[in-house]
Amino acid sequence: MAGQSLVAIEVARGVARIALHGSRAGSHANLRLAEQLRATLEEISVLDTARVVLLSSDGPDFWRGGAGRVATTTDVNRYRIASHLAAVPQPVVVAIQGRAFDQGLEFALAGDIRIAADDARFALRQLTRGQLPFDGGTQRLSRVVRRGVATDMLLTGRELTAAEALACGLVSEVVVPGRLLARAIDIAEGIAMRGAAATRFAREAIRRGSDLRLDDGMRLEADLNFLLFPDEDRRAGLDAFRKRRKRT
Amino acid sequence: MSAAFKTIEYRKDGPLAWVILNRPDKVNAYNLQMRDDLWEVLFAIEADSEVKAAILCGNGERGFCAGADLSEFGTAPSQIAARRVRWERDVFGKLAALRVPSIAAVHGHVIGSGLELALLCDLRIAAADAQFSMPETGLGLIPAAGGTQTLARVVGVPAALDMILRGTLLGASSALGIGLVGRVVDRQRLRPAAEALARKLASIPPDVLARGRSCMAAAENLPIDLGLEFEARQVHALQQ
Repeated sequence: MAGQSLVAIEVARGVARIALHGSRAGSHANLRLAEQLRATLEEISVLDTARVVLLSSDGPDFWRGGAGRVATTTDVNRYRIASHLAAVPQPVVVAIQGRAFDQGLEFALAGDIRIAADDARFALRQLTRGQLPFDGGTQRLSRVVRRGVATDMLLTGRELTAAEALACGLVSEVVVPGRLLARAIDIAEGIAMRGAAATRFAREAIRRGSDLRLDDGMRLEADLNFLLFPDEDRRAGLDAFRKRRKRT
Repeated sequence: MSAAFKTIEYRKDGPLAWVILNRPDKVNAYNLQMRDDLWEVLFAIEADSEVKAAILCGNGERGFCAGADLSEFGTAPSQIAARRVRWERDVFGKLAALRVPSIAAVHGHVIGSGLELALLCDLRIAAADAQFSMPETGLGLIPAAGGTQTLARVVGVPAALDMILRGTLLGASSALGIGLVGRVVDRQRLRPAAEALARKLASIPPDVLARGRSCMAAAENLPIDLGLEFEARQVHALQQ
């Protein structure tokens, strides 16, 4: 097993697809997977051809989860990946099938747009095993879904179906399993065709701004908007719009 | 009483102020003139103690507002000048912090800046034909009338990311489903329904209403312990 890659990257049409693969991906206490993912994310975050990141899994499950072996506080950082995903500058689309359990759900929560196959299931089971989520799950879950749902999932390990995840906003679309990857690529390529700086800045304004007071968030948005003025995509977008206008 | 600005029809009906976007041939596209007119209208509302509630809506068949008038984009002399002007005449901040409660009554196209204007109001009511989207990133722009902030606060961060990064178009029932609007009515019922809602707000003692609204702002901006203190102070002040 040593040296085997658990993560594949492929960049096409502006989308950097990170695929978790191999049956061990997403099983418990996978230090090597965490290391590979961090390296991959670091690589992608400076890749100009990657306008959008798409995270998916080749197996029947997005991430099986399982009893972690994270023992000590010095150790735990070596297993963390979610904040590294949140820190990439590109918008992140996550495609989820089968189980998205424990750290897998914590990881998916750090993305921007989640879609799921209708067989997807979501749970944070750590407390029921006498542990705590260690990869941001307690914070990100309650920022994504209503507090009632978040508390239920966190404290009781409650498992959500794809339909329940859709209803509470944990995912924004549910598709049949055979269509999941194609649909996710479709969404990611759609975003990749929009302004590259604009999508990054909009994502930053929404995510950072949601932790600020409203007036400070408005300042952040306005300043990002002024920064965009000389952007090439912006100029091209406005030119194209004016030409369309003239034709009609 | 009514007053005509170039781009806005302002009408007062007892305690209600109607602010009606009035460039119907341009689907009420928001331009610099409209910004200046809206600025004056908002000051008039602030200064008029008779006004107890405001309704923001749009004239014309096609919609409430099709977004910013992009023909004016790129006319700012510099980033620095644009930034200065933005805060010299903060019309969006003024609408968000209006002395009286505001209701956006929207129909047809509710796009970009149009949706952002509606999001700066306290409440939103939509005609069944309303269509909502934030298309900015598709043109290399970002929403800049507070939309990245207000949308996330109204519908939540994930739904806001979805709408803004993808430019998704939502119909009225989807908008109702994610909480973007609170009520959907038939097109011909839009203004009467908004008026009924505004009259209800106008019938609440102004002091109570103002404190209720500031409690909502506190809930958004303060940690819970300070928010509870704030609420307690408001209750106490009312009992004096």
